[in-house]
Formats: sequence, C-alpha cells, structure tokens
Amino acid sequence: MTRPHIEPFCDRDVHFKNMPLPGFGRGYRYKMLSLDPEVGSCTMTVQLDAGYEQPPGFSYSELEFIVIEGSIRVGDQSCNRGHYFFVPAGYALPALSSDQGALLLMMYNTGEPSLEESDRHHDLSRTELYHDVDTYADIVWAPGNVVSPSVAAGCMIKLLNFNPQTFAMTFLYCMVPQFHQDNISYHDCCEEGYHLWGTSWMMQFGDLPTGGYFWRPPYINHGAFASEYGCIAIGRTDSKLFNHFHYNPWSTPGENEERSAARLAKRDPVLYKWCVNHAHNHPHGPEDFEETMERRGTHTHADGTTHSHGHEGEHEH
Amino acid sequence: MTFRDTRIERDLPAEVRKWLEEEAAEQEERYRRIVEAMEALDPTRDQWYEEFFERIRRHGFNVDGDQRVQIPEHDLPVRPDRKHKVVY
Repeated sequence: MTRPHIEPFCDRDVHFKNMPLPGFGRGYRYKMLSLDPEVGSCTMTVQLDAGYEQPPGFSYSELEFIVIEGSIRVGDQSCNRGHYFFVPAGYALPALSSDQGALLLMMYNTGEPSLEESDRHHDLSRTELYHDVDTYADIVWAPGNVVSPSVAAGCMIKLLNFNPQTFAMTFLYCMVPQFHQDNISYHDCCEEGYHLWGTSWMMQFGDLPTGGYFWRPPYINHGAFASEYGCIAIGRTDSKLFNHFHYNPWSTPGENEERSAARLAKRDPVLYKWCVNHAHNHPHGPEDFEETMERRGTHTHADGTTHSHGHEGEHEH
Repeated sequence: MTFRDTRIERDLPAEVRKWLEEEAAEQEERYRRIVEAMEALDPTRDQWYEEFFERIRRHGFNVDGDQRVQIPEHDLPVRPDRKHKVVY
C-alpha cells in the first residue's frame, strides 16, 4: 500500500485529461485522484463524453465504479447516478456507452487501468463476486453505528461491498445538515472518501466540498467533524474500520499506532502476547499516549490517585 | 485497496509503464501543493483546536455515538514542542 496521503484534494480544481492507455478509446477523460505507483492501482474521476462507446471487455485489475452524474448503458441495462459496480479482475463487462455523457468515479483496486476487448471472462476471473446495485433507489440508509464506538447520529451509511476476510468495505455515507461530532478519530486501516455532493468540515483539513477527495493512510488524525448543509459521499477502507477516538490533536501517526497496540494489549492480552511479544512476558506493553501525554493541570485517576502533569517524562503515582 | 484481492498478472506494456511514471510525478507535485496549503492553514487550525477544546470542556467529547463526556480543563493536552503536521 504505497499511495501517499492525499488530503484534502478537490477534483474541481484540475482539468480532465484524455486517457492515453490502450482500449479506452476517444471520449474517455480522467482526473487522477490517487495512485499507487508500484502496482498502478488508482482512483480517478472519469468523464465519458456524450456518444462514448466502449466495447465489451475486462480489466486485469479489480474495479469498482459509481455513476456520479448522467447515465450510462451497460449491455441492455440503463444506469443512472448512484449506480455502483463491483467488477472482479477478468470479468468481461458488456458494451458500455453514454448517450448524453456521464461522470464516474473509477477505482482500480489491484492494478493499473486496463481494458482488454473481449466478450468472454478471463479464465482466472472470480466471476461470482460481480455485483451492481442502484444505491440511491435500492438500498436504505442505515445508522452509522455498524461499528462501536460509532459516529454520532446523523451520519448514516449504505453498505455496498464487504470483504468477509479482511473486513474491507465500500459504503455510501451521508451527514445530515448541522451534523457535528466532537472527537478526533484515526483507524488501523487506509480510508478513502469522495464527496458526491455537499460539503463537510474536518478540524485538520477544513472544508471538503463536492468533488472533494481524500486517501488517508492508517493512524492519521481526522476530526472533529461537521457539515452545515449536509453531504453524501462514497467511502472505502482496506481492512477493518475501528474508530479510535481521542482529543489530542497533536498526536502523531506513530503515537496513534502505538496506542492502538496498547489498546489491543489491554483488550486481548493473550492474543497480543502471542502476536507481538512472541509469548515472551515483556514487563510493559506499548505506550498509550492518553496515559502519558502532558496535560494542562492536576487530575484524578479512576483509582483515586492524583497528580500534576506540569512536567515531561516518567513519574510516580 | 484490495477488497477481494482479485488481480490477473500480466507484463506491462512500455506505454503503460511510461504513463505510470508520469502520473507518479504529477502525484508528487499534487502532494507537495497539499502540504503547502495545509501549512498555510496552521493559524486557522490552531484557532479551531482551541474552539474544539472549549466545546469538549463545555458540551462534551463524543466518546461513542452521541454519548458525550465533558473533559475538564486540567485533562486537556499540552501542545508538544515539535513541528505539528496534519499531512504525512
């Protein structure tokens, strides 16, 4: 996973480019949002010009895409905005066209964009994984508390894709007008988001408008969160999404990562011992910055001990 | 992202390798501009942090969902003596 931290970025700030790679033909223009230079996986906003036609074919990479604006025809199926596709590598889509033009978000997950003209699936394709859905019409919004601790009420999701082994997922999320959530979050996974419509605000990065995008590596602080008029977005993670909430805006990804390990050590000590300490009974675990960070004044612990934090380094209770 | 880990290996044509190199170079420039823009936001962000501390002190910190816990002044963190970054 070598995509850099791209956040915030707005695709409205750059121009479309013609796609020079073979197979895509004329009328396929793109804006690159993020790219893994090693394997070529990438996320792009794609403009299909009116009259665009693409022959049947497959990609060597797994592909997800959603219609942002306009409509496309895939085989004999007409797909309007909000239509989402999960296309395994080697799965031959039927001919794809757009009479009036369309704006798409294309996510090549495992390799560079490619289109091999074919009306047959590749022999290695796991065709059973293919699915598509009209996300606006055929899925209802669910509360965002699918994970715990969860986001505040007013942030809802529609789950579009889920990997039962890695817990990676693709989902729509929305924030209602006047949404706010006062905590800072980080995750143990990569996270990607694209604003289909509307603006949200994060305390580190400011406003993310329509067309706003982020690719965020693990352990990077984001939040507090707010949205004045509401927004709808597509989000993805590459593994299990766990919300590590805290209120220290100055913690680093390294400190956050260590805190995650510290929390694992507390929650699943036997597993932690086996995985991390190789069964060696280490006298202390990783550092949880919430327990050691310098604070503004004296405070009392749950066990009744009191001390002041007007200094740095180790101390005795 | 590897959601289902489906990928079919192939030898990359030269034009694809060239395209990847060009896109990678553009991405480096894009990243540099983002870092610049985020550094320019530092004074505003410092104010946002103080407003955040004020809100979690007065109205509470979202521990889980809408469950809020007020954070007393003395528990608020002290800014460390190091350069602060938000883009890594």
